[in-house]
Amino acid sequence: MHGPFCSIVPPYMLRRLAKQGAPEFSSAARAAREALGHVESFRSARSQPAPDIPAGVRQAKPGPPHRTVFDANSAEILPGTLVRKEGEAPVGDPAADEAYDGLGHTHRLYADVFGRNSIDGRGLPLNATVHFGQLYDNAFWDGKQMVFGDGDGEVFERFTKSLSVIGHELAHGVTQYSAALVYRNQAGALNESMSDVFGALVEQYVNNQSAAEASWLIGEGIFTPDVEGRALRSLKAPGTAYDDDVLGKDPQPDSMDTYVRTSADNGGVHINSGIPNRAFYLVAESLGGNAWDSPGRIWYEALTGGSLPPAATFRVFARATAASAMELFGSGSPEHDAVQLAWETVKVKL
Amino acid sequence: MKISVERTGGIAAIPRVWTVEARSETAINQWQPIVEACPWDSVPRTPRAAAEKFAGQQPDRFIYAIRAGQHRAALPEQAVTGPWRVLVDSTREAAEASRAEGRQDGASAG
Repeated sequence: MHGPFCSIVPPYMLRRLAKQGAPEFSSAARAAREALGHVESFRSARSQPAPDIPAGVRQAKPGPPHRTVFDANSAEILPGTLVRKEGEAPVGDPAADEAYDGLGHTHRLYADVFGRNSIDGRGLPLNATVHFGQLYDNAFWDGKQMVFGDGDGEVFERFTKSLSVIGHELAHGVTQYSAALVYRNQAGALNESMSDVFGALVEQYVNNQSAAEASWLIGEGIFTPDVEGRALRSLKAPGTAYDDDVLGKDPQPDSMDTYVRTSADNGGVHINSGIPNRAFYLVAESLGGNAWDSPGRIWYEALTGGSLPPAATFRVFARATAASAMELFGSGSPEHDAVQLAWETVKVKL
Repeated sequence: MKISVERTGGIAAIPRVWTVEARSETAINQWQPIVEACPWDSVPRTPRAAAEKFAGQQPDRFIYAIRAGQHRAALPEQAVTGPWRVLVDSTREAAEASRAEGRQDGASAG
């Protein structure tokens, strides 16, 4: 695993220098050149760790969460200053307290519903850093912990405002420690879809919402009021989450008929995830009740059961869900039928 | 000299493009050192090549495609440090400032 990435030369000092006249530009350029070693030494974001738990092996009873929240204080150095540890009272910083609560909610879904002991199945401590960078409009999982920006205030507000975003990021950790889906093309879109599915389930479970009651939105509430959009993505209706003059329209397809071939975004991992996302929604809609029950169980088993290769395609994953449904509920069961019909609807051949 | 920075990826995966055009001699003289400080020949030119070089992408990180004149580069955000960071941040600031000025007095950006 790698150490934290940060600029050798403080970027904001360099930027200020760069905005000055010609002599200062040479200074900035010189300073920048001195920082080249950092780029040259960059090799990879992280190497995928092998799953900690052999596939299919049942885990020990889940323990309580071990949460720690750090504050990057607008720098880009991880983890930052410790602000809240497990069991401590709220600190009054919305971002820190939302992150702390979100980690707990996510841990509870995996423990209560799926019997999983934290992200790695072995009680991994849950760490999060808030206030990362300046006007940083993103949240990510760096292979070890979650990181949240405050947003730029023009398009995005702070990313901890959405529980589905927190659940989304932690689900990347679950995928990392289970199927380790490659973050590119269809496998990458499945990786993203797993995060959207389980991110949505965290929100639904906490709010005790049935499939019919849920919004099925990812990132609801993180757009500023200036943006024409409800959220980042919709599992129920991919391609309809936003339509804004500046940002454009939600590009997600809802079936293989409109699959997007692109080299951007690691082969469209956040775009084509709309297809498996909708398949999950269709299963949940068909079966009714709570999506974290049968649909969640089927998807969870497909992800963590050990049969899914890292380079899985949509078809391979669809077959894995059908196999899980058959194993859990029997061939020809409503669950098995719902899974088959869902994939058929989104035009993924089993 | 036209300089553009396209940012894709991130959890939102909403592409953003920032563009500046240095037309005057003064502007070119200001941008040239920032552009030339970047090691263009030692980094991938396309997002696809960047994905291959920087294997093991961190989920939801940004990916930058940078163009300046005839130069091309593609980098994950973790590699946008040093002179790349200066170029990306300067381009973004200049493009946003130009856009804001355009909104204020109706002038065109660039």
